[in-house]
Amino acid sequence: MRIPLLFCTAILGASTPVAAQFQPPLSDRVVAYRIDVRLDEKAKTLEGEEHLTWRNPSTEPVGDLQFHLYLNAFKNTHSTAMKESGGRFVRDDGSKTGGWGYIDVTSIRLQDGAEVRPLANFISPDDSNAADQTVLHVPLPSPVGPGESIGMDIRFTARLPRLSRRTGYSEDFFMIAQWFPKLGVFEPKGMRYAARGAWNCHQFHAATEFYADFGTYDVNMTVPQGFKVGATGVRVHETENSNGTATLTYRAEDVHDFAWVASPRLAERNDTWRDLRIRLLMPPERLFQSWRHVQCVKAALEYMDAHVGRYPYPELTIVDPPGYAAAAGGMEYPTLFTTVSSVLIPEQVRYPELATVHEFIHQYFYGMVASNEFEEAWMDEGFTAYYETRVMDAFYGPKTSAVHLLGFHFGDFEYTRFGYTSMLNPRMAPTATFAWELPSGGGSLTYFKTATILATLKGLIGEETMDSVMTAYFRRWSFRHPCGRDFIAVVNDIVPKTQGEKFGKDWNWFFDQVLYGTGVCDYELSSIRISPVEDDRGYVESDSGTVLRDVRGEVHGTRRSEVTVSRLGEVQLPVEVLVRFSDGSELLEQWDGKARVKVFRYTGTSTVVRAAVDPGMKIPLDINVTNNVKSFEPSTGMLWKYFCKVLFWLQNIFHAAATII
Amino acid sequence: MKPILKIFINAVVAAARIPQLGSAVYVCNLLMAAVIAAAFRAFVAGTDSVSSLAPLFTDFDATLASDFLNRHGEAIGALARAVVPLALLSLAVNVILTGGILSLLSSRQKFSLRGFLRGCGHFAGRFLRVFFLVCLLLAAVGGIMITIFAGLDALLSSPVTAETRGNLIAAIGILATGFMLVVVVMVGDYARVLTVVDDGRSMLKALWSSFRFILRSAAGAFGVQYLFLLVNIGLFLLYLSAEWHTGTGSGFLLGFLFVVQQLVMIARAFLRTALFAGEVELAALSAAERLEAVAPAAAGT
Ligand SMILES: [Zn+2]
Repeated sequence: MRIPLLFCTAILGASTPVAAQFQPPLSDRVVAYRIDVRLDEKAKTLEGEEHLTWRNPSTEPVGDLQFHLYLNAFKNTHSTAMKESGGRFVRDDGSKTGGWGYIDVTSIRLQDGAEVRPLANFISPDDSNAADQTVLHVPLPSPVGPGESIGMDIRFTARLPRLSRRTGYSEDFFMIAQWFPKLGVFEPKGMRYAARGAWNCHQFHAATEFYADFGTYDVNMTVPQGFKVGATGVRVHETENSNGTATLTYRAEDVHDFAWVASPRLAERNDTWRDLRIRLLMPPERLFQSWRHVQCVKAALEYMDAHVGRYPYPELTIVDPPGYAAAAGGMEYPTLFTTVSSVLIPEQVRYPELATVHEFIHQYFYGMVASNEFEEAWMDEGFTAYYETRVMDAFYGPKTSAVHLLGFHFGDFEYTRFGYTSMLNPRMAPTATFAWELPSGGGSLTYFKTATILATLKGLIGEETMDSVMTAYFRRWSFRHPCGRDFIAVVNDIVPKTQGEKFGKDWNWFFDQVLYGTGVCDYELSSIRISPVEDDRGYVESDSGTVLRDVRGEVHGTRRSEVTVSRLGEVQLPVEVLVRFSDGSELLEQWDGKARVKVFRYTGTSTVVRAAVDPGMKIPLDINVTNNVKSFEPSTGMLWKYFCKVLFWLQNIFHAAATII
Repeated sequence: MKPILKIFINAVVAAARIPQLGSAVYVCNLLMAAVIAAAFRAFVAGTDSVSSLAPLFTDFDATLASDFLNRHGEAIGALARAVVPLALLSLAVNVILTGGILSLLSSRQKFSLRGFLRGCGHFAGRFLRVFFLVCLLLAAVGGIMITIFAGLDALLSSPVTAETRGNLIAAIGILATGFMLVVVVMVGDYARVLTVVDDGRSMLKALWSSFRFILRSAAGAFGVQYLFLLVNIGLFLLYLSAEWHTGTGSGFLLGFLFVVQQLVMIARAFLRTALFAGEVELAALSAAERLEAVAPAAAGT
């Protein structure tokens, strides 16, 4: 079934008398959704009608469609997501019963009136689980030609599951995400890793997120009156119906998903940043700390604008779910995200800020760049985690941005790097692994190792070049679904232009090791040895010819220093070694970091008193920095300080125990 | 009833008059804590990380600390576990020392090592029994209070009000439980004081008498207890402020902080002894008042 694009535009145009937000469009707008949906808050159900238009972006005819039906992940224990999570809802202890959810597509009627629902079947491209119903394959009576569009009306009913990480209800709070039949991405030949044009439409997995195509959304949501609604896009219309419901109309352009939140127990705070409207929905009892979210999201907007690119949408909605809906917290959707907080978290513990900044940065890498989160989760979560640390450390201080309480402090990057360095097995898999295939604990590779890889890249090429790389990457690949290879190509393009070829013609050697390899990086300052310099012995040349000199003796006042640096890990990175001499002078040595052992030798009147490998911490991937220094300068100050601390606190513990009992 | 402040001052004077008592408490705790602290220091000094960790002298560094723990967490864990038996030993020693302290305070004798040790030995068995009974009472009272407030929470709060009403119930619960646990601690303290005064043998009876005594002399008993608690908290806050403002970064500052730390611990040890002195005085006063009350009545018959 083929219909002219003009026809679809006319349909959409007729129902959405809304001024376009982006002219010209930011994305290729492959899809256009117009959805009417009604929420029954008592039955926890949705009833929807969806008009969908899809344009074939490839140069070959496409004979089928593939839809995500992700609410079916919560249908029973046979779904792939439930199997992967041991039959538990995410963030659930498994003790509760009930709360199953599903989506039932009752009709798919093409524009010419043909009903194709009976032709459809569920497929499971990832694991061949025949019981999984999260991907619906719809053969078309006739293929859609290159550049042509197809329109259809879809009817569906859905029961929302008990709130899990990404979707569902808890009491009167509804996090409505992954709720409508949503097309996968048809990847034309040459896009990402596609050898031929094909649908990329993965099943719902317990530990991965999403991938869909850009377009427009016009959504009418009917909810009980008194419900506060936050949604992707901007609200363009609102009517109160005579049956006690209200219908809210939202329009979103150049986004790849649509999510919404509805609850009668949400208070609202509005703010602005430049032309952007910031809308904050949170429980009324937390309003007093709404400034924390606003302050940090403005800091993040400022920072990302200066270092990566512009947030182009007119509105940003932040939802701070109440405690009983905490499972909805910490999740990103286009122009809307949920954060995490509590009235009990003091200002000095910046977990709410960290969550807000993180989820906001997703607007860039999940929202606009929109890499495939199933196959290359590191490109979204890892990049987001990296910029989260940069924003947090820049705004709240590099050593204090996460916690700064009673003299105890640590920064967000320190926390993030620790997430990687403390892994039980940091060699468990390459970071660039399909996220649902990562072993348990592999999320640390996706988030923390990737962030540490990018911080190492920044350390090696410098912040300015790093910013050039990231702005170029964002500019070139926003709204285009890049893959890892595309990011590396940007690095290979930009870095030699600013740094020359001192690191080689390209950076594949770097990514092959740290991204596609499993090795760890660990450099060690193994030893400093000082020895006397002996007189020359043997048959030596002199003015009177060759003479035998064989008396052992030392060259007075001259010493030889040997600094030995070792590579304990598999990863080879160029590294600096700072050597300090007894006369106070310092020497910064460059080492390509390839050999297992490298010895630096110095002969002179002053000797080496201290040597440090990677003194500027340019390689945070170094998994153990406590073997990076050797020194003849005493560390007694540190030892006595911690002796005093341990002593004092133990005395207090013993004393308190004796006092209590 | 003498004003509480006067009892407090008298108690401090009494504790200062026999400085050996507070010193004994201080030295015992110091020695046991020093064993672990020295082991910890020796361990860190023996690792190949010691040069890298040098910057920790001037400020805490989470990267260095976390990498050190990643590498040496097991050894540090073993050291931390060694604290448990030492803490138990410290408890036992403190329980035994209490016998000597209370017997000297209540008899108002001058300090003699022999008298002190005799007191320690004489009451050791009984005080250890009080110690176990108080442990049981603390667990029971704590358990009952938690059950009561968990029930109240289930009754009065719901997931929707967890962050408002639920938190309020939890806060009241913590305060109420804290109050009840302080009562148990006081019952234990006065049971020992009364045991020393009466040389009683039944510790259950002593606890019961103590409880009745606290009910009878509630104002004085709670007044003295909370005044000492406040002074202890004040002392601790003063220390935190001193540490905050001093920082480290030079040997002199570290030395200064060490002196302040030990002065704080000496003060805490003396306050502990003074609290006993206050409790002894309060018990004596109460006994005297009761005698006075009984004597005229007897004279009248
Ligand atoms: Zn994330």
